[in-house]
Amino acid sequence: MLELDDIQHTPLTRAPAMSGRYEFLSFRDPAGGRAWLSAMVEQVRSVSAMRASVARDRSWITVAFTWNGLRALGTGEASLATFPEEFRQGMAARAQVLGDTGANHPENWVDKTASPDLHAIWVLFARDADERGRRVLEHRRILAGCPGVEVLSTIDLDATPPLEYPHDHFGYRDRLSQPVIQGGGEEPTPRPGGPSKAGEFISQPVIEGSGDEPTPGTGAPLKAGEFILGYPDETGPGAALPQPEILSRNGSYMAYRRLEEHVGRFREFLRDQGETPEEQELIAAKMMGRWRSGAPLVLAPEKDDPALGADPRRNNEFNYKHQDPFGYAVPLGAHIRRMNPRDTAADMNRHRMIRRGATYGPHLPEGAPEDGRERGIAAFVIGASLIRQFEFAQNVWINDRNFHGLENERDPIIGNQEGTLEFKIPNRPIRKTIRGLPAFTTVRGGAYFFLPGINALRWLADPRPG
Amino acid sequence: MASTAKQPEWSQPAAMAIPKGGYFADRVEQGRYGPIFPKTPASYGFSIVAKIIPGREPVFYEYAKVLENAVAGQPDCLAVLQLHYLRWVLFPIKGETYFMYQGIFDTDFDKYTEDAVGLFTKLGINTVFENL
Repeated sequence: MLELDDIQHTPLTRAPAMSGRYEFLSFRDPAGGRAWLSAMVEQVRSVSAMRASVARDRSWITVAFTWNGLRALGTGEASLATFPEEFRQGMAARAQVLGDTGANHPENWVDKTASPDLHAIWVLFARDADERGRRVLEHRRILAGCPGVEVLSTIDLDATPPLEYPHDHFGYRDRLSQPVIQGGGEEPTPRPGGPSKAGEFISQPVIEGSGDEPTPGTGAPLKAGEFILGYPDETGPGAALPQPEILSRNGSYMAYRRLEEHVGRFREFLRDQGETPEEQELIAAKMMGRWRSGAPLVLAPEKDDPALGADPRRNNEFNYKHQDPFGYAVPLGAHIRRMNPRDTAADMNRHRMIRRGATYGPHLPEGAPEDGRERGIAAFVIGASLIRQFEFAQNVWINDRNFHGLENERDPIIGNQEGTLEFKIPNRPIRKTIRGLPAFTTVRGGAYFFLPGINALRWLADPRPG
Repeated sequence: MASTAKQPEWSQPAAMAIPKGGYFADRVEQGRYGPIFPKTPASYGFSIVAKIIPGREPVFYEYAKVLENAVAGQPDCLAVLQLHYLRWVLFPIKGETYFMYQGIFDTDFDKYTEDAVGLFTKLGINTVFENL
């Protein structure tokens, strides 16, 4: 049975937020860091606490730590050594594995997340900007009382218009396919509390015991150990726990990505590639694998079907092996076909991910010229193994130029593009090949965090852990 | 009409000398689990030569039979590995038996080993490497 009163709410619940903020922290002094954490323990909600109060709450806090951060809080070396290699190295050091080269290289990141001084992240999701403002002031007061706790950088998040449904700055409807986890306790879609935050690309699993039920096409609920440490996973008893167990049990790993979306460049590209608005929409759909309305190309190959896109009972119920083996509907290299190859990849259940996050930066209205301001998605990929889930997706699905035998392609939306690769759109009688695909996104920041359970937060806040 | 298509890479016979140590020092490709053996004109691959734990030799013959049956029963059961070629050789040195493994495949080394472990776990068998 999942310990829902100990797991931080983030992996298993989705806050009904339209606003948010992340603050990246450094602890110059262990006692100051622990004082801050002691204050946070009172504010962070478990899954069960969050579910009990979500209807009246207006904001939600999450805290997580880098490996350097665990050390900065005073965790002993013997314990630190039991964490997996990739987490100890951190995201910036894994740049080559992740395809973070060229413009995406950590040297170019703008938020100090590549620094070894990054120790913790404070995540706030709020129903609106007023509530965010209130919580930020409250947090500032807490920080002022914690010597040596420094804010390295912050980022504000806001749903981008139109606000009626979640979507990214490019206009793609989001949050369409969710994983379900086995074992945990509440109703499925739609979530209480109104529209939720925008800005997530890829498809999500459902965890056994989470209380969520898969919508059609999501697949059976997955064992909790795929996402939460201390439970059986899809192949057995689950990974070895970092020590001591009180620190790791009910924890998860979170990969943070700050991904700038070049909206002006994207729209210009569509105009270059398609003569009519219909042709332009089709190019946008082919790169994603869905129309911007969310309607999947497998089910709506010729023209958009907004009602299908908006219907969670239908918009995810499709596969590739028999319905679209050659990619005439969804090109083999399209974003959703890479991020979730469904029935065309081995061991899919070992590579599923939970995503949380939102859009940041100002909305660029349709027809407005590129204003040069940064906008994009600031999101988390959550799982029990960074190397098997997030890094696998980056390495094998997004940035492998020979994915599905494509030879000269990377993910057209979030792959590392330097203007030298292709995107092939199968068609009869001949396919369309787009050469010299530009980069529509750039990595602007990122880090690996450990998201401890509530008891672990208390343990870390204790003056003499480890 | 003259063909303007580029000649595929494999149409040109090629050889590659891999330096001592197994990697080109100036272009070591980092995989998720460490450096990846370089891709040669014959694709990715690796070899293992190791002494078999005394008494475990029969395991290798039984294991080969298990693989034969698995492929006969489900011809695409190893498809995920994208194997071109897999060879095992058992040979004696001074009364002890050694094992040589050579595999050539299309995916990189990390993905191959990850897929292989996943595959054999699913088939309910360990890898033979546990007998070395």
